[in-house]
Formats: sequence, C-alpha cells, structure tokens
Amino acid sequence: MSDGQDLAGRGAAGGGPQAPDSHPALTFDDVVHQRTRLGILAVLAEAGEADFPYLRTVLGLTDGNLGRHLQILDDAGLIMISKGYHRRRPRTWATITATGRRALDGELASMRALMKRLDAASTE
Amino acid sequence: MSEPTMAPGQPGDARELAALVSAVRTKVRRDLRMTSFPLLLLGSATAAGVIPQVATAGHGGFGPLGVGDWLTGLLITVAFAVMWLVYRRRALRGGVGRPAGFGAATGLGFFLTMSGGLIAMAFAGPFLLFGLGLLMVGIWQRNRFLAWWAVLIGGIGVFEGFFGITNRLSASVWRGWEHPAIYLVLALLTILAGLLARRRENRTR
Repeated sequence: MSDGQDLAGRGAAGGGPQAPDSHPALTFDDVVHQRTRLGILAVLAEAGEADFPYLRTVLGLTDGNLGRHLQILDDAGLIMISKGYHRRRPRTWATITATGRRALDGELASMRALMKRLDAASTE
Repeated sequence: MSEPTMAPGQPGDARELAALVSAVRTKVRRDLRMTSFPLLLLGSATAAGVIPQVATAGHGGFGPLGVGDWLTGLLITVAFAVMWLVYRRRALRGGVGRPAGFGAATGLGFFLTMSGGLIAMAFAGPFLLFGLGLLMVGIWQRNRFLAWWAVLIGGIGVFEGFFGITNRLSASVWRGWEHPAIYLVLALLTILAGLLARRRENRTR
C-alpha cells in the first residue's frame, strides 16, 4: 500500500477514518484501484456470480492474467472462488463478498469525488 | 488488460476506470436482463390472467367467484418457474448470474395456489404472490428496483384485493369490471416498467 493509503487504512473501502478535507485519491484502495480487478468486481457486483470463461471473455484477459488477479481479490477477501464440475468439465466460479461490494462502492465513490474535485478545479 | 499507465488519482486514470466499470456493467446487464425480463414476464402473465376477467365482467363473470384470481396466481407461479429455469440455464451454460430467489418465489406460488396459502390469496388476491415473490427475487438478487416495484405494485394490488380502491369509487363509476381493470392497469404498468428497464439496460450508465 502507498503511504497515503497507509495513513487512511484501506480508504473508503475499509471504512477507515478520513479527514473531512482529505484528497479523494488518498482513499483509493491499491487492491481495487486497478483496471482488471475493478473490472472483475464490477462484473461480479452486477451478476453476483460468474465463471472463469465469462470473466475472461468480458474483460478480454488471458487465463494466467485473470487467474492472478482473481487470486489477489480472493486473498483480500473481496471475492470467493469455488471449483466444481458441470457435465464432467471442471469449472471455476467467482462470487463477490459483502466486503467486495463495499470496496467497489467505496472505490467508485472516491473516483466520483476525485473527478468532481478536478472538474471544479478546472473551471476555477 | 494491462496495468494502468497513469498513477492512481490522476484525472485520466479515474475517468478511464469509471468508463471501464460503466462499460462492463452495461455488458453484464445486457447479458442478464435481470430487471427487464422479470418485469415483462410477470406483467404479461398477470395481464393474461386478468384480461378474461375484464372481458367477461359484464356477462356473469369468469366462472365461479375467485377462479379468475386463482388462474392469475397460477400464471404468475408459472412465470416465476420459467424465470428460474431461464436463469439457471444461463448460469450453467453462459457462466454468469444465478437464479437466486426465483425458486423460492415459485415455491411460494405453489403454496398460495395449490395448498394452505390458498385462503390467503382468496382474500388478498393474486398480487399477494406478485408482490411477495418479486420482493424475494429483488432482495436475493440485490436488485433495488425490483424490490421497490414489488412493494409498490404488490402493495396497491393487495389493497385492491380487499377492494380498497373500488370501495372508494362513487357508485356511478361502479360497473363490476373495475376490480379486474385495476389489476390490469397494474399489470400494464409492470410491462411498461419492463420496457423502460430494457431501454436502460441497453444504454451506457
């Protein structure tokens, strides 16, 4: 985690204390604030559950890349990975957790706040 | 997909990520039709059960008292069962979504139309099943719109089930068909909401 995030705990996602006038970028969560992981969380927040091939197709990833990012999200407790079989073929499912939903909502709120702040600054 | 090239917190980075989230959500919403499909199917099933009641209201009614409501309840149950099968198939074959809530709503439908719950539906009308079933789906799917629609339309429907609206109409308006006609309006509103939801699902947020 960056220094800013160390100060802010896990930012909005972790619900850590924030100074009222702190910069929104300080609340970004390093685990969530990454294209692929944000994409995975967005898919799972919308669908609840998705399997490995669906995530790979929607996000345009390779098997190795997707697997690595799923593992990071799983380790952070933001998703749950389960393995099973369908018609004798192995399948891997990812499900978003309540922590994952909160982390995504917090990240999106931080991004909106940052964009609002930057838009306000550019019009001044 | 590669790592972001800009440092987190930069304007381009935040805008790019927000656009990515929006595009991904739109794609998943299109794939699942999680709001529009249940509303369109439930609205159509309810309308199909209510139209014969409206059509025959001035000619002795649609069979013995309560049969029309029972038939509507049965069609709503079938609609929930169809949705459960469709979303289960989509989850297994397409690898996305889950049929959470639809199975329970179908079970509730069988309870209200085929067994002990029949007496509750005889009094409250078919919107008891419409409201409770859709509310279960909305909660399980974390779909706020479906949950609110279930409370709003289900609530009005159950209120009318006890003739809450028709009893407040002036006698000059009373024609014998207004009770099923109110149900039909609620069903058509649900279809309209489904069409609007479908339009929204096709649009980028």
